Amino acid sequence: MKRTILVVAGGFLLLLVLETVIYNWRLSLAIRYRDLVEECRGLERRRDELLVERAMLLNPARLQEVGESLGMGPVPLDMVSVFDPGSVPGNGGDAVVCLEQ
Amino acid sequence: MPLSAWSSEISPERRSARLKLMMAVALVGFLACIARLVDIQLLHHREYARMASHQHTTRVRVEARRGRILDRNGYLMAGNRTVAAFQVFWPQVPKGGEAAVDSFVAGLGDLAVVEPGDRCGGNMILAGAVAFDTAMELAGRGLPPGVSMVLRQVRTYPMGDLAAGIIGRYNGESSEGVERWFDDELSGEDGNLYMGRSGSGKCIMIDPDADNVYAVDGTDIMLTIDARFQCILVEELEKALEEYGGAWAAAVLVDPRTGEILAAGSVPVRAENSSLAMNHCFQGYHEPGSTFKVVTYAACIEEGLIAPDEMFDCSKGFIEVAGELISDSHRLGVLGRDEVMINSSNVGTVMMAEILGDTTLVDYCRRLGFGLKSMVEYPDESRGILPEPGSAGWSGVSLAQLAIGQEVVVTPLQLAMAYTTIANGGILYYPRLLHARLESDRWIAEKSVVRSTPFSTRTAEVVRRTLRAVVEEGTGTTAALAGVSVGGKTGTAERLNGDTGYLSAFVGLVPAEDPNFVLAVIIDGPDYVYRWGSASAAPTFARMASRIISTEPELALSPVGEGTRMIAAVTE
Repeated sequence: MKRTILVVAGGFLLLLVLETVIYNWRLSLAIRYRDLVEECRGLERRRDELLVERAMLLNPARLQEVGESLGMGPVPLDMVSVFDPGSVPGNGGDAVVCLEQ
Repeated sequence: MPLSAWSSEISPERRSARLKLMMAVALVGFLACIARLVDIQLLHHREYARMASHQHTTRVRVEARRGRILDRNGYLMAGNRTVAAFQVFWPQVPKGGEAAVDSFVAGLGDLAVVEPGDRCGGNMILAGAVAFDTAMELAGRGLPPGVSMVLRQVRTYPMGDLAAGIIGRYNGESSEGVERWFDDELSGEDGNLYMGRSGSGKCIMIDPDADNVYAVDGTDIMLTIDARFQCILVEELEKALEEYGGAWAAAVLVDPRTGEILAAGSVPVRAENSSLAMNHCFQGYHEPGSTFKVVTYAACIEEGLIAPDEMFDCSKGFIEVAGELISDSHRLGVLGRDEVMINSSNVGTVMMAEILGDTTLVDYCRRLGFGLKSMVEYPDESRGILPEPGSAGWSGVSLAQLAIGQEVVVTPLQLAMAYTTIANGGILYYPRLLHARLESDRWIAEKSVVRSTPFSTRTAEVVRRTLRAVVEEGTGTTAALAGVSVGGKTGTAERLNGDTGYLSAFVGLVPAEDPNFVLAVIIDGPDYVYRWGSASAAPTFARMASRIISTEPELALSPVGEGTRMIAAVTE
């Protein structure tokens, strides 16, 4: 009888210990999960900021202005010739800078 | 000395009785515990769980990120930024804590929307939109008691007003433009997370057993718009209004092979009260004037009613229709079929319309999308007005007026789309602003949908040839571009609103033989000397087209065969 009581009590004690261990493990996972969620949201915020910053820098109007101030604005249309490379280009003596299409 | 139950001086009977009493007491206590456990865990489980949850769990709303809007090249046109708002709840500020709040407000500097010393009885906003990094820095130094920080997302538009007419605006409560049309997809769904709290009240973890609903971010969408071309159109329209005068100006750039809208500019962008003005490309309307003559001309060719060598006597300079005189700007003599278009003769066009007939002409107009919504993805689109033969508004002169682009009201988009049928061999597509949407990290492209096929490829080819002649030798010479073949039609119409004044228009196709784009330019109410389409709209078209081709030179070329390499060279 005494032995039975001891075995049952021991079993309950073991279950209690196991439950405590599992509970603590879940708690630590939940805290870790919270940290990861926070980190993810932080990274998403940072990515959004960087995308906006990139778009501001690549704003076509801004690039146009910067290009023109550096003398690198779009070439006037009458200075651009498009031709088949197999044919002889333009008049002899023209200085030609070739940009491959 | 008290006697214990085990004292050898107590009799065995008494010892046994005391033991039994102790066991009975222990049993009663044990049963009471069991009963209490049953009560807590079985009978009143829900109630106690709710009480516990209130004490150690709090629900946190997670805002879904609004979907981004990109142009066709992936350039960000509308994005999100996280900003912080600082607020103070005065009832929670302890006695003597007001100085700390004032000091905090002083530290905010220009970001603060209140002054140190300002008070109220409840909640007060201290700063509304502080950049995230700055807010974290301020919060890191410690917030005074009663002061809290709330993070929120705000919409950001890197292109500013250059794309505002298309994108619209979104401020959390209302939206306009594309932001409004695609609001369901862009919005996403907010979530709710249940956070476990420590004894000090700090959120320490997400409760895994709670009914957590995770936020679903909005869908990113990619428009057919090219941000570079959008900038070009809006900038040139603003210059045109400045140079030629006018109430508003609009331009639509369309890919004729797909119906995709590459740019749609409308100025002024803002109304007098600083709100976004109407986008005239989709929501405005105007009488198209001579740009509409192409419809009459093309319909006659499609029906086979006019031979290529047929002549029209316009030498009088006017034609009488139902007692009204319709005249040309000057006497043009006897003109061939194509010369009627090249010289934009009202008289010749009316003669063509009389051959065509009212029902047939109106039928072609409807097949070209006039008088109907184009179903573009933009709110409050105007359908324009197309008169019907036999209706109350139809008179004896209506056929003639319709043929030359009067008594009909169109949107710039409808006009551009009609010209795309000439450009692409006779097919009218539904115009599109949506190029693709992002689903499961993949861009799913939208497909072009054919609306109708008003013309044959042969008719379209003939009309293109004539439109090229309009620019090379007719009324559209101011739209010509160096080294690039252009086809198009000028238009001058009287303003709709009864004021004296005119509307100047030009619709062009580049390159004329096999167009890569169609560009319609409309200027409403230019100064009198610039009232003609050739004087203001056509030169504006030329400047826009020139910049567009400089940005993307291959647009000036007819499509080449596969494997053929072309070279663009800059000559000095």
